[in-house]
Amino acid sequence: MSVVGVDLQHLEQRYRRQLRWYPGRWRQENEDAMVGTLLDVAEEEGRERPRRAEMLDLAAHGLGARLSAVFPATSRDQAASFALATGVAWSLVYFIVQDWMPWNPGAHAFALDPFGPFNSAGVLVTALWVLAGVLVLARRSTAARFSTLGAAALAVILIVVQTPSSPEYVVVYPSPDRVTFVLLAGLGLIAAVGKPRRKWTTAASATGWFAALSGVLLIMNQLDTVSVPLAAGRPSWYDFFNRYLWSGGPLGPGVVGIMIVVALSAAVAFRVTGQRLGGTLVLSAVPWAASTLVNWAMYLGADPSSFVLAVLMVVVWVALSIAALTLRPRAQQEGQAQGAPDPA
Amino acid sequence: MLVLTSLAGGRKHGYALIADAAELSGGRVQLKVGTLYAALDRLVEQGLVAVAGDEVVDGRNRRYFEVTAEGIDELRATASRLEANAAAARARISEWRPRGIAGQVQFGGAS
Repeated sequence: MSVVGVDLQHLEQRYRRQLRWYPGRWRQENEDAMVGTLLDVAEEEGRERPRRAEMLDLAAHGLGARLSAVFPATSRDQAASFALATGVAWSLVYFIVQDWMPWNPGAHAFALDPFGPFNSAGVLVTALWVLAGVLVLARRSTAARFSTLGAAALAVILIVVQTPSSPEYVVVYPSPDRVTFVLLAGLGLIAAVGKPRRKWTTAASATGWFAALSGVLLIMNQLDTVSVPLAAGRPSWYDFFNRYLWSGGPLGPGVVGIMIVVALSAAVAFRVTGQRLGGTLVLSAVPWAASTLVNWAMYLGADPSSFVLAVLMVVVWVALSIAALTLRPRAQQEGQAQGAPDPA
Repeated sequence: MLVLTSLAGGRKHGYALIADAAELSGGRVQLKVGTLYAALDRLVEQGLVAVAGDEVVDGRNRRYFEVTAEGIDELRATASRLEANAAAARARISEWRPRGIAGQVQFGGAS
């Protein structure tokens, strides 16, 4: 019993149970201080029971603390910035080479699901990405978040609605590229988990992606000695991204798979050495892992055992990386062992 | 903003911060404990607030927080921004005339 006659012992137990929503390490460092504050408030209000709103608040912030323990705000913001830069550049290049194709005005006539003067409604995905970029420049981060989430949702809808036009993925008509749209959907989600930074690095990343992607497609087009003669000097295919990047180009299934494993390994190494870049790398790898899984599903679909093995490899690596992110960085452990002040 | 303002008045523990935030906001803001600690976590991570020691009072743990020099800079910048916004709002308010009254004056003048 407290000095004012309120039974706080039972209340303290209730609060401590509710704090299990928070990660163990957070509780170890902050639980006693937080329970002290909760009891101070309850005592002042003459309560012996917790308020429902208070318990919901603890549960919500506990889950938030769990997310932040794995992916701190800095990591989420960095990953969101990189995803925004990548999404804007990729969707713009996609719009030019697949939805617009200004060098091939005849393509529109062959489009199965044309959208106005464009070959597909994919142009709307590009519009939402560009809008998100403009909103970040205008410091409207919440609106930008809605725009990238809209781009992600629309990309998924187009995959479901329009790509069945070419079920065997032998692209003979202009239609959304499945792997690219899965990548754009993943990028849209990652861009929304943090606050994209309005910095020169974000603009430089977008410009770099645009130049690299355009360059690769141009070079691959020049090297293509099989398809060009068939098209009599006028590109007639409608799958630049698939033909020159995903299926046999520099981002073929095996290459991206190796890149993901390297990125996740680097993420673990960064985390172990106390660098926050680990969380950024894992978040940034997620859209690529998703698009690679779709790519593998299409090309290894006839061989289920290979596909399952490939999926397992990616899933296990992502799970191991996230597990590694929950470990306390070595630098922090040493700091606490030497009696450094608790950062929280 | 309220947390930094409160801590600018001296180091405080959790409950003192909640009470001060309520007083500073004229009772409009009643911080919940989970929300307060999430804000403090973020401010500590940003280097704007620091932990200023733990004490046990009547068997209850109390953790004190204090604002850092960076926190004061941030608070000063935010206060300046709010002052500029308020000045702009006051200037517009002083220029504002109800549309109906303006119409009546014109109508009265013509007759």
